[in-house]
Amino acid sequence: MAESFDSPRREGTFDADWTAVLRQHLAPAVEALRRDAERLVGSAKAASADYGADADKVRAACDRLAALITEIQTAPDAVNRGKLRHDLRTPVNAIKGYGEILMEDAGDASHVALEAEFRVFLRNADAILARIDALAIPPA
Amino acid sequence: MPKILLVEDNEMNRDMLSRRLARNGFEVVIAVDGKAGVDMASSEKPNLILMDMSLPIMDGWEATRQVKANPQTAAIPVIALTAHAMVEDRQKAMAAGCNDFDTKPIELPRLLEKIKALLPTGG
Repeated sequence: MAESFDSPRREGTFDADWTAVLRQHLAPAVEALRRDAERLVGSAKAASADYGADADKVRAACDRLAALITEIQTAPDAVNRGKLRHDLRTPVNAIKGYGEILMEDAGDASHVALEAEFRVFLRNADAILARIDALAIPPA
Repeated sequence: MPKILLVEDNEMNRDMLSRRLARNGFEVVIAVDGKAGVDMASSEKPNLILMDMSLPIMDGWEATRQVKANPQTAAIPVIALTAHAMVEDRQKAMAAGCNDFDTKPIELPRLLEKIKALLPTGG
């Protein structure tokens, strides 16, 4: 099994019921992140109208990730497993990228509480990324 | 101000990374496919190229090979960017002539270190 040089992957056999792992461990974390994003959008827009566009992008990316997780759970056999990890990481890319821009903007503007909220949010996004990387998806 | 050529087809990725690089003191020029990336490497003479590997028209591996095969652009350092975090992806990028490799989601401090390591002194 190929190893990721960025994140260690589980060795050995693939998890036969990877969808159960996704349902039990990844889906709840993504749903929690989506709720946090919703709340953060409100906080960001209350702090400054300038944050609105980027905050909406973070929320939209969370919604896309949650929708993808639902799609996988609904029809796991229809999933392109060869692209799945890439497809799961892509919205996380947007969540982290725009989230970090917002955190930096908040820091520059001395919106200390908002900066701290985004720091926690981004740590949770990192944890989800680690779970995606650890997901032992059987080859297509 | 050092100039970076960002070759990336995804609009959000272009937006995120170009803004953050500009905030960190870089001039950023953009190409949206591999062919345009090769052309702009010649026309813009950037100090460094950030090359997404999954590109339309011409993929990032081929674009890198062409940049490195052209004496006018061969010396420009290229950092491969990819969402695929496998060892063989890194090996494939290095075999194409990339000077370094980074994975998405981008960790900006890590990428900045790689950029600074490849820029000429004072760049």
